Amino acid sequence: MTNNKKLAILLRGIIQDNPVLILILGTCPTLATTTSVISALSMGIAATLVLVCSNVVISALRKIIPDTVRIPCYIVIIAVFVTVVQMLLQAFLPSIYDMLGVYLALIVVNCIILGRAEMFARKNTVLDSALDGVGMGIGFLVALVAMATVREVIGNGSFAGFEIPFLASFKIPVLTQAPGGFLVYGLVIALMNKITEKRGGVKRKSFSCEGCPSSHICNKTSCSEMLELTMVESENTETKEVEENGN
Amino acid sequence: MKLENIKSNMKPTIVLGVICLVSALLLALVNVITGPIIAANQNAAANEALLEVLPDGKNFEEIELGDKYPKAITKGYKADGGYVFQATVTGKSSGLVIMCGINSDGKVVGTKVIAEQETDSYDVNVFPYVEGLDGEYKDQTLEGFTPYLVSGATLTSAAYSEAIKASLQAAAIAGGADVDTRTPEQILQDSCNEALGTTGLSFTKWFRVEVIEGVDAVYESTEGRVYVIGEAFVGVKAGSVVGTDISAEDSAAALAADGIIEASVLTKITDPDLIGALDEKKFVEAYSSASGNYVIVTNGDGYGMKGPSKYYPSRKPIVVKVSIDSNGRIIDTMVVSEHETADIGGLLLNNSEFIDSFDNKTKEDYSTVEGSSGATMTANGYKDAIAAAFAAYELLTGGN
Repeated sequence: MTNNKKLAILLRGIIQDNPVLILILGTCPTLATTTSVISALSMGIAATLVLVCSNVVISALRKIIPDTVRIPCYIVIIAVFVTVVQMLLQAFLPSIYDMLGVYLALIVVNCIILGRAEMFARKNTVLDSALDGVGMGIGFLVALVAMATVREVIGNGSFAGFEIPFLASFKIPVLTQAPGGFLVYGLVIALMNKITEKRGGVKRKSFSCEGCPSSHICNKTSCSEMLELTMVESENTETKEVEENGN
Repeated sequence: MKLENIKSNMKPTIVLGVICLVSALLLALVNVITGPIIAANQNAAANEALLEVLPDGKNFEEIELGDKYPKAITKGYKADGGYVFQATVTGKSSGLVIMCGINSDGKVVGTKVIAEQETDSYDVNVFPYVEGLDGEYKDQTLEGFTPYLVSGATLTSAAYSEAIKASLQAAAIAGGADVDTRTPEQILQDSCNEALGTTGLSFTKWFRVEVIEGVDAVYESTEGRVYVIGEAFVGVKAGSVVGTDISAEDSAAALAADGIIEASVLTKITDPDLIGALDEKKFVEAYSSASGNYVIVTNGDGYGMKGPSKYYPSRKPIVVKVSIDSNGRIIDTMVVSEHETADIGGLLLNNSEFIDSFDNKTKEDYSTVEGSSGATMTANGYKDAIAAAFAAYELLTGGN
């Protein structure tokens, strides 16, 4: 039973809670690095390493880090791992380092990593957090590689830098540009929705509040309920103002 | 209560501080391991670019550039097989960065454009001819340096040539040679300042309105004049020759010339009958001197008047000042204003060789002066202004 739970944590990030295609997190590096399979694979591996390491450390320190300074602490921990990965890539894989450019440093502010630290690692054990990091990392990696495959093969007529003879003559260059990135992203999300629909769909609402930085002070079960309440309050205020002006 | 507040505030501060400290130590440790490897990688990448222009170079070391190097040189490397210099010059736009490899014999090995913002596609077409290991500059030396100039892309090709020449000069300097890196204009200004015993003064060429024998050129400044006699620069300030190592002959020639210039007074011709008889489209103004010479300013139809109207909608002529002696012979000519294409006709009008070639010409033979390929309309415009000056001269002198 315990093993099944751990397996569920690991697998959840790949399809059910895929960070890119279901939770719509990490959109910036997703669109920027999926122009080629190699850069997508590199970004996926780098982000996974940072995700696993930061999840493990944050989980291990969850009882020591005070609530008031948890976000600065998480940022420092994530930044350290990103910098370490950056240094290692610059030293041992400089071509990959050059290829990823600024997006490598931007892993520090990647929503997936900070989101998993806030939503999972600070509430769970080190092993569970590590498994969550691996699962989410693989989910991110798979999504990136899937998108990059579509964009590079159709948009550039090549795969991982190797030209595909027939497709090279019929490539659609717009797919390797920003508009093409959004187009492919939308199509892959649509495909993912279709797949998950058969399994009962995705419970986005529960995530919305859980991932919200104000969730611990908000007692509502969902943001829509909060929105309705705000609208009612606003209408009441307007009515009151009209009545006062009328008098 | 206060103690509790201090405690509750202290804990987050300490925890965050410790996390930052441990993080810094971890990063320092990783840096110790990766730092040298990263530095070696960066050196290898930098050397890769250097090897493109000096393939036989080994052990590149950056040269510390001092004041003695040409201003255009921004980086320099010494290698076992020669030198590599990076020059930043201005072509059609600023920021044209060129790398040049020079071997130990002082010959150009290869050149490469590092950065450029030459927007005109024609200008950029110059690069394939001059770049690489077999470009037009291959094996050129400082002594026999020949610029590779392309008509129509003059500014870009001249800037490229300037960068290569500066690199050759820098290589000679790095090798221990004493090289004068000043431009001809700087040399002239320095020589004039030296002759007049001044520093930093700006000298302009005096427009000759009198025939002065034995003096090649006169340069004026606020402090005095400098007379170029053969190879000598003789400064005259307030009627006296400056300097002691001037020959008596040169001093006498300079003082005589100074006397002529001081005595020369130009009177503007305002007689309405005379002025009214001149072509108002061509004629601007005229002066006469006591010695019987005339200075006439006229308009000439160059490319700014005859070129495509979409490029020159305002239609402006080349305004030329011409001095003609009492025998109808041109003493001097100069451009007062022009609106020709900067890197074609504009260059021709800035070329002293072209302008000076009209000196001593008469109405009969001034048109034999040759222009420049690609700037024919500008050359014809200049001649058109001179023709108008001769026409005005004839009317002003009563047909004499």
